[in-house]
Amino acid sequence: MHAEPTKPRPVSAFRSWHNHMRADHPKLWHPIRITIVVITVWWILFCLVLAPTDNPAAIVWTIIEIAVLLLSPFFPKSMSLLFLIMSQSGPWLIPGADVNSLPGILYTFGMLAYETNNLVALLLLAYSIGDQLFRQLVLGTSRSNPVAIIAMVSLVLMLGCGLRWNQAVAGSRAEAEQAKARLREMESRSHIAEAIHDAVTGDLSAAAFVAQRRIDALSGGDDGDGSASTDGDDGKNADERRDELDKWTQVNDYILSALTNVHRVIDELDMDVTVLEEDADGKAFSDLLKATMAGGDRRLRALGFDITSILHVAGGAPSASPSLAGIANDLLRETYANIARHAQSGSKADLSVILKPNAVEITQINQARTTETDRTQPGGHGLAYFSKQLESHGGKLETTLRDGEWTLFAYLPIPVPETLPPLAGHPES
Amino acid sequence: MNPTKSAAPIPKIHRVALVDNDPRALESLSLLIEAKVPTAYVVWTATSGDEAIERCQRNDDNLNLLVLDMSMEGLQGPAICHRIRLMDRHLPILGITSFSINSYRSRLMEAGAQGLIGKEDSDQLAKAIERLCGGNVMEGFEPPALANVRIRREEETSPRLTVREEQIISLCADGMLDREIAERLDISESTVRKHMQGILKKLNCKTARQAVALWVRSHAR
Repeated sequence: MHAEPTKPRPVSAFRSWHNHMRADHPKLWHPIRITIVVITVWWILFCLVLAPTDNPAAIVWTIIEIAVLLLSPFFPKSMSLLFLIMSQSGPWLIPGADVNSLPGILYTFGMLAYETNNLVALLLLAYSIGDQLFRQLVLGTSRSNPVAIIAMVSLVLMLGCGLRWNQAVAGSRAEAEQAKARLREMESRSHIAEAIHDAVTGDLSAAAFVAQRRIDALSGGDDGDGSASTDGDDGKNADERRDELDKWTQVNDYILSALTNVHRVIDELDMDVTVLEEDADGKAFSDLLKATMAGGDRRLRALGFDITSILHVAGGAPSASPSLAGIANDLLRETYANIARHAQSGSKADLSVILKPNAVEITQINQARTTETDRTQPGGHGLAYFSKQLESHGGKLETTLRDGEWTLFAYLPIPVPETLPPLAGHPES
Repeated sequence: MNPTKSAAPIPKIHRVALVDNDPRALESLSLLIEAKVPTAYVVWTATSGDEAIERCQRNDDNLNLLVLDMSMEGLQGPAICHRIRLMDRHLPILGITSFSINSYRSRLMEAGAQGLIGKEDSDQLAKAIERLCGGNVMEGFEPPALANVRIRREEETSPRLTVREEQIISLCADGMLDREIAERLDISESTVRKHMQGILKKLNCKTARQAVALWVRSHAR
């Protein structure tokens, strides 16, 4: 019993087409502009029929004028200016090309006032006044009322300027509304992130801490609360201890994996990459990495790690695109997640991020867990992905696990902007 | 270069080496450590960067700290630190300077040191020596092992300019044209352009202007 697919109603179809045209072809879709152009063209044609000319050159000239008018919605400034020049110079160049083009001139005046600025509008008004005075006082050929023409031109220019101002005000309002909406969304996301953090991560961190102490006790002969125990003391033989160790290790891995995923969700909710769109001085990128490091440090310390991390700007932060900044930030998060997953519990971990105008470098070392032989445990595949990502951008990710020490070095080159911003706080040396 | 022995009741367990081109400064530093850092004693001193690098390379003194002056004749402090850090992942290096700290801080951090302190404040200097001998680092500096990993990897990964490329971009930064650079270095203009293409690729720049800006910036610090 499937419902038959229904045809869209004509009104809905028109609305859909209307929205599509407005979004995809804003220049073409402007009903008032198109209407004015059509009326103007009809007016010129009507005048041509009413007072036909014998000069074929004048007819061709008028047809070109009409074509220019029809193209004006697509190229408003250049075509309006061209029409203005043609309509003003036509009667001087070609006899008979003096068809009444006042509606076209008014339209192009309005269009230029709308598309350009107040100075152009004033210049057009001055030209119009000068032209009328010249025709009236010097040539004495004007058949129309110059005061009425100047009044019409003034009104049209004011209309164009008024529409432009209105559009600017509407644009500012829309931007302010968008900023407000973004802020509200960020606040909402931040509250959700805090709620998730409060509800889940505290307990998970505590559970991981307990599991890691138990793992240490089982692998090192300490029972987790500081007292040494032997096989005989708690009645467990080596096989039972190994079995229990495996189980606790598995539990710990599950907890850490869950914790990492929760942190990823929180980071995604907290992250606002839109600020990176215009980041010429690299400050937003630097702040983003700092925030990630602060969060990562806090979480690792909650898990009992002794983490030392520094972010150093060497000669200026890079102006990274949002995608490159996202890769660097995600890799940093993955590095923190890897420390939590694979480093020896309670051990020391060191991390440094160096920002250069043309690259980002991440270096990290820690003692690997004694029970660990490689990095193929759950969640450990992220570095392979990042290695490919970095390579695709001309960078490199290198890791080693030697004598129980894990090292990671990531190099991500970042294209240098055309003009480097001044170095903030640059010391005089 | 002789070990300075002390009869203080606290055992002297931290072995310190001093590098400064001024013998009188070395003597003052030795006396300062003797007087204000009870757990440390000076194992050797050196007046040149090459000598310090050679002694660190031999690695037969089991040092706990190298105190390195920044303003040296010939090889400068950050360059000496960089070379030592490249081959040693355990030895903490403390930079000292009588100039402004800001003049060297960034470069020294990048060279793999663990701290930088002014020579003028003997109390702070003594505290910094104690701190670094205790396995800590000053704020904003990397631990020795981390710095060693980074610098070794940088050597392998980050493309470095050859001597000829450095000459060319340096002359370009002085405002010279390709033709003038070619005349100065006695090479053809096409060779200059080829080198410049290599420089752009290595510095990840699109234009010579960008590359020169980057070069000037990295060498102005």
